[in-house]
Amino acid sequence: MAKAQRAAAVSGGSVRETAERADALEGAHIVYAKEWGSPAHYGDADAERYLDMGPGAGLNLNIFPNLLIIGNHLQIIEPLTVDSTALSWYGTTIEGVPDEINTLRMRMQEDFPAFGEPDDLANFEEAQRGMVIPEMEWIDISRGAGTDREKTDNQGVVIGPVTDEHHIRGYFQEWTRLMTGATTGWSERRGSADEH
Amino acid sequence: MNTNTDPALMTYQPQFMYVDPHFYDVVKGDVEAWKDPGEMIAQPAASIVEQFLILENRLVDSGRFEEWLDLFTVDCLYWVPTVTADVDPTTQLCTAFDDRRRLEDRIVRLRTGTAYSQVPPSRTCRTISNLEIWESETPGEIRVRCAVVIHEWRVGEMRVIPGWYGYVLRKSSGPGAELSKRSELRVVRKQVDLVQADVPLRNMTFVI
Repeated sequence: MAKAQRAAAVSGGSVRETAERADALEGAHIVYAKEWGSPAHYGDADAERYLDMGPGAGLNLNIFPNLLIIGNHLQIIEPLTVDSTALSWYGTTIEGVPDEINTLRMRMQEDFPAFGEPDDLANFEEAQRGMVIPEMEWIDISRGAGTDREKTDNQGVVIGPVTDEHHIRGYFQEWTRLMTGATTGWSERRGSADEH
Repeated sequence: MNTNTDPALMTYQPQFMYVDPHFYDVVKGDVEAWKDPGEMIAQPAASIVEQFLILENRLVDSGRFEEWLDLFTVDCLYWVPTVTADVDPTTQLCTAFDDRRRLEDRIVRLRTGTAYSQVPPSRTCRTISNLEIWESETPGEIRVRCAVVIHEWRVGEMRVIPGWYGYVLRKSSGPGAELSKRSELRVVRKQVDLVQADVPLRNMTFVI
């Protein structure tokens, strides 16, 4: 490439690289097409970009205390009483894309609620049934604890195998910290009445 | 490693590419068609259609899902909306919007033994009534609208799930042919409109 640029400069021209077809054609006298060609043979970049917005994001992000971002879904966990919790799923659409892409997202977003989540819910209900037995007051979330699989990376993030339960322990550690920490009363927050 | 190189198995391709914009237009046409049934078809055809629906529902109640799916065409739809008015699958999430491929997946999943939401399986009894049967605007196809009540028993709980079915049936004997037996019919589209479509339905992993 450097050789080509030098040769072009000698004759008063220029050479540059681009991955965008339209950009390459703009004002160009010569186009050297490498690894791309007609949409019929090499696909349509816009179509591929849009289609990438159809399936789930391959993401499972749990934000303490009760917001989950799972694929294209938002999930909100709301404990209602000691023995009931509401789990709400929200489907999402994207603005500024062809309607067909959002329809595709609807179909994709029916996958997990139909094929995975019901099994999770069945397991939650089984766990709840187990929890009401007086002799079984605990759910074991110790998998992976005390092993060298749990590490802190150079950004201070604790990492470990996805099958270990340290992320669940992290939730309860944070919950414990908040529930046992000092609380700030109304007057401390607002300042004393004399200041007003 | 997959060592199965049997060409006969490898050439199988479910015909799932039919869910395109035109297909959605057809489905939206169904939504309108269910509102005003046409001229009822006469006996004995009506009775044969009813017997076919009884078979279809009995196979599901019996857990005979493979035989049940044999009653569906290769371009079929099994649709359970989540709303009761202004139904539009292009903009709404559905409890199910299964094309042939996903319907096959649904049954394969139920057969894995690890679909915990169906371990143990639901026992169901569905009763259909109030049948309205009329010729579709598409030659060789018949529309049926009927009421359904599903009783479901699972893990100590009885649930009652009411709604209505909208069926598009196709005659394998082709347009114009006289319907002589129920085995000549296939389901092209089955729409399940539940009375409680828009409230949390919990475990709906049995075939509705």
